[in-house]
Amino acid sequence: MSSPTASAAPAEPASVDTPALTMAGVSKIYGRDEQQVTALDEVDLTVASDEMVVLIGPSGSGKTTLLTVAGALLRATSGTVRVGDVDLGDLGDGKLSAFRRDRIGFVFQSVNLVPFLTARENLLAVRQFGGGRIDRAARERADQLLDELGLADRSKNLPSQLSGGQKQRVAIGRALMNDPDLVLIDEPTSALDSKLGQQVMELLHREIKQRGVAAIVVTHDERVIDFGDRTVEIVDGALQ
Amino acid sequence: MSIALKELFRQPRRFSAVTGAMTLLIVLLVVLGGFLDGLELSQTGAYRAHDGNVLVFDDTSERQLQRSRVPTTVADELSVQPGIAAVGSLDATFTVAGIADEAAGVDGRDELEDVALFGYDLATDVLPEPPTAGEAIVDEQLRRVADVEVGDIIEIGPSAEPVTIAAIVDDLTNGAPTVWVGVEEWRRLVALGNPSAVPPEGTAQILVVRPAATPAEAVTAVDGAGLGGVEAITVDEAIEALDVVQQQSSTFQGIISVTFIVVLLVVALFFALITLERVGLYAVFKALGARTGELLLGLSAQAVVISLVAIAVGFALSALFVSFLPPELPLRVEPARLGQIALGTIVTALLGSLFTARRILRIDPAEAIG
Repeated sequence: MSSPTASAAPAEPASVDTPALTMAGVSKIYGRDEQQVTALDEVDLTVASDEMVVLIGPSGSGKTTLLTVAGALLRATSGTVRVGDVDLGDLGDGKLSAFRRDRIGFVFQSVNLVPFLTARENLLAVRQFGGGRIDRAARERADQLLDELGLADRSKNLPSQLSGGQKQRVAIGRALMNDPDLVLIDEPTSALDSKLGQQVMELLHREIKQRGVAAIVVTHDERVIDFGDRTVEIVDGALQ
Repeated sequence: MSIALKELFRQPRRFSAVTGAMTLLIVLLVVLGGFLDGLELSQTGAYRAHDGNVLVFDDTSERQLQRSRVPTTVADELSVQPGIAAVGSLDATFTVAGIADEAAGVDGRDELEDVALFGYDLATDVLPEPPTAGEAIVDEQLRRVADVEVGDIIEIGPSAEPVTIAAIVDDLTNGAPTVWVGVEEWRRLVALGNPSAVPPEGTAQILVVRPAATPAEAVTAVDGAGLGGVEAITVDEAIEALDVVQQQSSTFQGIISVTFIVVLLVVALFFALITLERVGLYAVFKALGARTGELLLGLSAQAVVISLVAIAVGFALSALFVSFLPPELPLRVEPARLGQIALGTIVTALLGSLFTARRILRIDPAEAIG
């Protein structure tokens, strides 16, 4: 069994000077000929290693596509995407999976916790993928994260036994479990009421900043904008 | 894989339908296999009593005992061949037997039982040395149906020739319960009831060759003797040559094969449906770094565990079901057959679970977002 950081890319995180994300001239085009849709149009974006960028834009503007390309879930049609010092275009599909696991954290819009795993097991699950093993350090890391997220007493609860805010916090813990360089967060407050949304964003901001991790937050919620170091708007696939 | 197993153990109801269907199919497989083995064993007791020996048939007999006639001079010539320890005759006919004491009747019904009467020379692992004239060895099946014991007198053939039971051996049913006597006694008893059924003097129906080492070497020794007109085969080959065994075997094997195909389809359909349900979850797993192989391994692990549960419950239910069947039904549950069913079920379930490989391969991790 290899360690989670061994198989995809340099195990060392990018230095403080190296941007966590560099997108240069990135386009993503779906379909062919007359059916072509340009979801991303020559996007240039740099996110510093400890920066929290808020990405806003109307529906269908390309926010989600930018997130999936930055997160190595989709390949760009053209342009260069670098996460830390790794050019994603150099990685094959297998290495891309391992890269996502080791270097990128995701907080999905619909939370997407595994329904039959406890809160703690949801965090540990990311360590198991790619042939990884749950060792003592992993268990301690999960416990520490849950403690920081205020879920120490909920670690053995299934998602069905957690509130919406608690589920969101577990999802944040899962994203941070492998100590990623870049965390991609999709509409973190869309399913929460305003008070809970505020709490989750405060928590998210604190965790991201404490760890010096870069993050992109995609949102429609204007209240989220205040939590970012910078706000970027995307319209028709192009950054404004 | 451990994530998949956790799902199985924490959400067992989700898998109960497929486990139940597989359990019932396993019961069907056990019963079908039991009938196949029971029918085959009930037609081949005489051959199985000579397991480890070699049988020598007339080469025009198509390996059928009743059609075969082999000169006993062949036995004399073979007995001196290297690789052969001993040679004896084996003759058979179908007749009837009843209890001499009319007050007792046969099985309390005062009826005659059909029996297969064998004359033999050589003791085997199952059969002791041939009894003396006026004595017979009977098998367990006749003891059961006729309620006879050692020392009882049974009447053989239409002439009701009395013989005393000298020993009872394992069930050697050969189309009917069996009675075993010495070759000379057999000729005498058959001649009394049906003289035309007695082979000509100096001939036996088949010869039994006891190998000095292995049956294969004994077959080679017979073939190398250059006698002509005879064919030496193993007991298994003789059993396979029986028309009734071939027909029953092909029929039941066909049904068993179809049942395994049904198992395959049930498992494949179940995992196809469950994969459809899990597309979103698998997309999340892939987004988090899971490889397709890991997801398939998880499905396979679930299929194996489901199979093991179905096998355990299915075998237990089969034992219960069989215990309620009438004892005269030719059903025998053999450990080897159970092993085949267990292995076949696991392999089939594994294959069925992998039918979804293409679907899982095509799940796009980007589906986890948006």
